[in-house]
Amino acid sequence: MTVEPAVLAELPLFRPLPLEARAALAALASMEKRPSGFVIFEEGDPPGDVFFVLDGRITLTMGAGAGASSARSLAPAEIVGWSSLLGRPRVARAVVSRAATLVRIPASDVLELCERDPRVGYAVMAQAFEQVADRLVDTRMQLLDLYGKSG
Amino acid sequence: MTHPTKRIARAELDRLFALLSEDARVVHGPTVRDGAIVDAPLASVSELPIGWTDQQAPGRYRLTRRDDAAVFGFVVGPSSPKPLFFPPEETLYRAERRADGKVGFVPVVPSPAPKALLGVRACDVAAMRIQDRVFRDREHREPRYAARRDDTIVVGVHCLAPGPLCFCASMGAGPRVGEGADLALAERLDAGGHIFLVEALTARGQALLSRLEGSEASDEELRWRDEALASAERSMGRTLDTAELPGRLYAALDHPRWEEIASRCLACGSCTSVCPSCFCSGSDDPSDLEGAHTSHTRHWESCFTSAHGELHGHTTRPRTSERYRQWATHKFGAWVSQMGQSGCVGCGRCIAWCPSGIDLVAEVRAIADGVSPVTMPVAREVTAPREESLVPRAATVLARTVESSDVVTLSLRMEPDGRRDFAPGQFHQLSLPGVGEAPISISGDDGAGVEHTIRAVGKLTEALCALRVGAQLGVRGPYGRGWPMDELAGGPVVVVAGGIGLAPLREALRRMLADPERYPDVRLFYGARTPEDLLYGRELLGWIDRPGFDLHVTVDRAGPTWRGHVGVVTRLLRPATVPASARAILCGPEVMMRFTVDALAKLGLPHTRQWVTMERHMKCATGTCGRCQYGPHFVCKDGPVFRFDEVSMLFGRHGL
Repeated sequence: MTVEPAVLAELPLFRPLPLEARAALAALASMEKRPSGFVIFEEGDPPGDVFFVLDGRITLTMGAGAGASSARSLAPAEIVGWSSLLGRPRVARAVVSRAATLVRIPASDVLELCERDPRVGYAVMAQAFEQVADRLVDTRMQLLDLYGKSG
Repeated sequence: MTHPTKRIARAELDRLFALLSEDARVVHGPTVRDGAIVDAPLASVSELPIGWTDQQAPGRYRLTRRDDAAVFGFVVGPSSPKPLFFPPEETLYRAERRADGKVGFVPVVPSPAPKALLGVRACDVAAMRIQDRVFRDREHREPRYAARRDDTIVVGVHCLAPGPLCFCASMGAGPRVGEGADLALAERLDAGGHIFLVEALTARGQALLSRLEGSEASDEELRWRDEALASAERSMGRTLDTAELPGRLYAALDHPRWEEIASRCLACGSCTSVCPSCFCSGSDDPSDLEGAHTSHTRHWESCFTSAHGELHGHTTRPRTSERYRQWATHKFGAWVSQMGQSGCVGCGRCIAWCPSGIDLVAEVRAIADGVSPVTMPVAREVTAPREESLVPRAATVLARTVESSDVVTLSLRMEPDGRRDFAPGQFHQLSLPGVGEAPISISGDDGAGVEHTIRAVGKLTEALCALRVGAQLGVRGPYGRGWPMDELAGGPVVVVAGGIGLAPLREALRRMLADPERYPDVRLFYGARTPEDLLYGRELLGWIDRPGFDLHVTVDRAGPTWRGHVGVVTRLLRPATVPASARAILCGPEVMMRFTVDALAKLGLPHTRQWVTMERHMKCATGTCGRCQYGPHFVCKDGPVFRFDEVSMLFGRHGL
């Protein structure tokens, strides 16, 4: 499925981009519907495409077997696979936990766009940083064990 | 106002003493003991500190001889009338827990001999008024205090020669003896002789005055007294600008001076021990070896102890700087919001009896002078006091539901009448004889009993969670201000709960869901540690299909089979899920509520449309133990539910 530039305008990462940049990215993007249980990528996979949730829910899990643990689920508009923007391997397993519609864009295309126009690059990376920072804060709150014995 | 005033000879003081002693009344007054002037029961006027005076300085108190025979020629000693009415330790009730699980509670209320207090300084009369307000004349009337305090005759003494540590004039408490005394004496000792001017301030004082031999005070004598009082007011050893002092102190919560004071403060609590108005207390539940017969005792407790800020095994004020700040901001600041007047009467005892010689006046001035004040809450209107015995009534466990590995819901029948009157968000004090007592939120009304959802986090809650159907426990309450159900009506309501924080919200949710016309749009956002820790799972599932109800659940971590949200509860709050016109009620750990309030504010909900519930380990729940003070508020009376703007200046701060 093709992606309209207007769809990318709804995603925080691409909201700051000029119209033509969004149109260029939209041309490279695809949209896919995935059922619950579909594995988007595995922990440790090499860097690849980045995904954005349009609807449904994605859950990130770490570890394997009985020790596997879900530490975060991703909601509409959130990025899935941000580590690929840094050329890093996948840090978690991403599984569709509620039937989802995803936008998929090759990370290399996003990075190329960023390099071509540093102002665009700054805007995209600032947004990505924002989302990663939010996750860091959330993770710290989870580490506090807010609802534990002392809470 | 001019009161009837007589001039009596020094010798007539004996007659006054005799009059005070009538009807087996015990006369208390100052006397020299162990190198200090202390209050004690007196047998005669001769036991008063005749010819003695005191020398006071920061960290210093010495008695010396005067070169005359003045009876009241001293300032104040370490003791005040406070322990006569609010003893350092007393038993509130006796309790038993029988082998069959039944409990019984027997109140202990003293019936002491009536008292007369002779020679009370204006500052101490003012402190008695404050204590009256705390224990007797506000929403709750504490019968033990009232039994000791009612029918007490008070004979004050105007302070004509204040000491170097005195600042009662700044606090509006002296040097003239005011309301609260029946008689006020002014001692005159000069070339003209040794006399007393005795002023009747009440009808009872007038009756006593009429039985004293003397003449009506002359204009010259009254002028002398008034000029002496005016001179005393001008010669106070210390002065303090109290204009907007509460707001200035609360604006300076982060002042570096608090830490500097802590480097000198020993946190010994001497200041609070000698303070004539400090009222904070703790409690104990001593028992016999078998645990069958126990009592519940109350004891003075200083805010300089870790116990005073105890909450779930840690203390909310771990640092000395935080404890000193608590004391000073309460005394000069919070008190005004709580009682309508400052808690300090300017007697200077805390300065004299501080082993480090910390000068409270100097410290407060250093911290608050020149600071722009924040707005403080106005004092709550005083309602007619109702008797509050602080004694539990028995309740029987009707049902016990295990909610998770460490959480149990008990449905309780209140004996003897099965009453179930409470407002959503209120709490009960639950107790077990010999184990203790703690505030527990009311989590619902199941039609037969009142439900309480309890997490086993300590000795008492573990024992409560272990109770079986048919067992009994003690209950006091309900207490506190609940959720603003009327204000929530009509528009969207966002309910955010964290962990066991769903418990105090459950009855509010039930009532809203039962009345969709009044509450057409209710959205619950609930976060828990793991899926196994989610409370009321079956009930929540039963709500899902209700029209006008949305449920959003998240957990911090889960196994791979969990298909729901994973992450902190604030992530569920988005423009798509939270209408900007909503009102929000929140309950959970403080840090969770802090992040939630911010998230909701970003979504367009001002602080005036958000309510939070605070948790503190109050001992009395009637505003008399001081344990649950949260800045200018008592969590037990003013809360536990607060509109967020009421607490926003304190929320999330450490050490409060």
